[in-house]
Amino acid sequence: MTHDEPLVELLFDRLAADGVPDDVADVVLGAVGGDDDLRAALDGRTTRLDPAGDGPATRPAHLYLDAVTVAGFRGVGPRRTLAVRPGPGLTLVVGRNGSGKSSFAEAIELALTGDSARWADRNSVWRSGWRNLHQPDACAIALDLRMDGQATPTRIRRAWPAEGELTDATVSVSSPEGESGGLDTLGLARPLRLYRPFLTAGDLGRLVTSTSTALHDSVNGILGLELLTETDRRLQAAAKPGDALLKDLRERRLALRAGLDQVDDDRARRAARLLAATSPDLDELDSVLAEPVGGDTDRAVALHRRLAELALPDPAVVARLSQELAAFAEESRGYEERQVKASVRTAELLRLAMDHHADNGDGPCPVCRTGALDGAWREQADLAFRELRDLSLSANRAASQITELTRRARQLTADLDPPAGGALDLAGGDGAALALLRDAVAALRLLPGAPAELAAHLADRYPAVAQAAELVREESAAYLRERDTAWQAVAGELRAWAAAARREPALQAEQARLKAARAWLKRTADEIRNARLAPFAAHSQQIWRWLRQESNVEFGGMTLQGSGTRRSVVFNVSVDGADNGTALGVMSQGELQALGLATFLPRSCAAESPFRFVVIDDPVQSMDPAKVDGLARVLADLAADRQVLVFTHDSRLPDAVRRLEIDAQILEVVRAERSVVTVREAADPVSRYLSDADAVALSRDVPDEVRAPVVAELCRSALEAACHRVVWRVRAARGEPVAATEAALDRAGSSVAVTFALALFDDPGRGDEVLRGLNNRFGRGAGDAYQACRKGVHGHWQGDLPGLVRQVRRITEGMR
Amino acid sequence: MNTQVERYLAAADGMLGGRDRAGASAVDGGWWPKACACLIRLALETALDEFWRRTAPEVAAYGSGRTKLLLLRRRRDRALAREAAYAWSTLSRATHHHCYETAPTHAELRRLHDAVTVLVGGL
Repeated sequence: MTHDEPLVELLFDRLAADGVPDDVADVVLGAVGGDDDLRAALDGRTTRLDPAGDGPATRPAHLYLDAVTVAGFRGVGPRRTLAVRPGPGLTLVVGRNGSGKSSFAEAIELALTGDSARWADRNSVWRSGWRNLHQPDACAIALDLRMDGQATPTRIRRAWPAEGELTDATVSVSSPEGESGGLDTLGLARPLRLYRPFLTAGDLGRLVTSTSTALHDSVNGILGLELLTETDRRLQAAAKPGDALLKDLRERRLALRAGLDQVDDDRARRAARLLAATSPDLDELDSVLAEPVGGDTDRAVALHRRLAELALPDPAVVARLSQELAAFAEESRGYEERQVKASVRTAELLRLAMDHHADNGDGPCPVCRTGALDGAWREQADLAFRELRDLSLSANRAASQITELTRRARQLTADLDPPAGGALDLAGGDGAALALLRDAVAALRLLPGAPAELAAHLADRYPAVAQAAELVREESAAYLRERDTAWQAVAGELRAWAAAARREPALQAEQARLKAARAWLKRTADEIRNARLAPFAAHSQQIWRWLRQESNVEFGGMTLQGSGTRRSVVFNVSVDGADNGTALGVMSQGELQALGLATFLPRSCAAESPFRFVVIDDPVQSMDPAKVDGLARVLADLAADRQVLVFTHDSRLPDAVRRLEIDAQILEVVRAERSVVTVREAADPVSRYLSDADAVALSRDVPDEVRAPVVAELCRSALEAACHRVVWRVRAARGEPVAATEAALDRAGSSVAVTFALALFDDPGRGDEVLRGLNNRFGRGAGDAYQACRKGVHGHWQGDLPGLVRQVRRITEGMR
Repeated sequence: MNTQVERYLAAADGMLGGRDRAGASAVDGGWWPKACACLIRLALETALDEFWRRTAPEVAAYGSGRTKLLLLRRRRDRALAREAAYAWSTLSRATHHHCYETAPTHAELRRLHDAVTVLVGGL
């Protein structure tokens, strides 16, 4: 992209002068550079426009037109070239409507802009008639541009395939740098838009008919201020996503806060309190979110958590204990204490008797004295002794088992310790299960002393405890589950929000920078606009002064007002000194056109424009002659340092240029049958008629009877033109208004005698004396030639045709 | 019909079409519009003179082309007279040098040529 350097430099200066903070200034300059640059500036990266960055973009070289070649396009059939001197100066291309002159003007614009759409939009005639009727196949245009300081012209060629649409053109650009297939390489898109070196009657008309906003944009462009508008638009666009993000963050924060209120959780309550702030403490929020599950300090939650994990002895284990205890109690009931004592004593007696037997051998029983202790007795006694010992051992074991099992049962019941806390502490449940548990435990603890009863008590009571405990666990687990699910759900959203909200301060800072940048730009743009408009307005006013002539319309320049959809252009126009806001309405078409020129010419000739040429198509359509003189002066003024190419359909402008002795190249375009167009230099009418007459006089192909009247006619026209020249000069020197001179010549009309009378005697009434006057001034041959011309045009004279032309040339030279 | 009138019209036609050698050189030289106008007008004038010589020699001898045209109204229908007057004044204007006027266009000349061809027949 090419930068509009002067404006950028101006912005640099203003930013520095206004002491704009660097971060805001960077944003302004970034927006000037483009969307990418703006992003870079906002992100703190280097922008291309940064003065510390790359060097300034090179400005395109000055461009002049060299030639335009047209074939099979619009009114031009066979290939024709319109060549102009590539440098400052005025060139007029004169041709009647339909002569094909506008085809050249349009070809220049189309070749350079490639904007087929603009052309296709024009009208249906254009859409269907851009190909030449007589030569529809070989359709091509070529524009030779001379870049200042380059020996080789740059050629832009646009050719259409047979049957192709207007947009189907193949474009080739050959420049000193090489060939390319597109206009982009020339980098002229932006300058073309800004300076638009083409003015057509249509464009000038649009100035008048266009809506005020469109005109505002147009003038903004003229002034090269589109850059400011674009910059502002970029700043505005850049603020949009940030605005939306911030709005979204705010809305989500409020929604989350409302959602947190529904969650019964200490973390939710604390998060909601944090979210009440416009800029919540995100670190605090993060730490709330980071709290582990179960790590909270809520008393009820802690209780529930303990209850949920309440561990009681397995009912099966307790049942087994009860069964064992019952079994041992049953067993021990068989071992009567008395019986056991007797057994022990009996065993002891038997053992002593057996010792006695062992020492003394068989003998009578020392205890009963009746029996005998012998071998048979000993066998029986041995057996009985073993039985008695086993019985006492079993009784002892059962007793110790009962003692152990009883201890365990007591221990188990003592260990049961359901957590304290009433229904009030259990926000989640009603606490009934816990009470049940406590009751069951209390009942369990009423332990009976006897082992068998203890076993039955355990078997009876423990299942109730286990069931109550299960109930308690389930209740608390449900409470905890519900509470955590609600929190986790909102915590997920909260986490996402907190992550996004981390960007909020940066976003807010960015929005603040953008806002500051826009505010500064708006203020500065107004000032720059006025400053920029001043020289343009001055140039416009100067042009208007030349063009207005006798107009009673005062043009005090224009101002751009408003912005956005209410932007408009105000022309400070007053009629007869009165400015009632309706002055534009009472201006004539010619005045409006002149106003259009006054407005648009300064744009096309802006100092910064790379285009050193301006092409104006038919600017004099509705201008009165006095304005045409003014226009000739304006063009001559511009032509001092610009190449001015004007296409015009009549000879008013060339005549004015000749009258005012303005240096100009005048080209005449004539279109013959089958769109054969000729472009030829028309020095001045007199010499053109004479050279035509010479050509006819020497055309031996043409029969004499045809040649003679044609030569006579051309000679007569040459004489008339010479007379006109004299009349204009004499009357202009006398200060006669243009309109008066025109009227006098118009009255002379087709009468050669009256025309000559005006030229020779400055008196239309002395037509009779013309012949004698000519003879007196230029000799007899002159009078004869005069008569030959008059008669010849009616076929009443034949003679030496080249001789006649010589005589006439002599007269015209004498009349200079 | 006068062969001279035909020759004038033929020469003009040649230039309009750029056909014969004379016509081609006129187109190349760029002087065909004025020459054409001159020849068409000459054809009209000559045909008019012819007509007056046949019907009223004293009018034919009179110099002014304008008078000859004005008097035509009494001898021929108004439409023909009006058409002739229009063609003559247009062509006459084209063959004089005027401020701010360039040569007539090809289409204008073609129309005038056709009109004069019809007029010549009518006379």
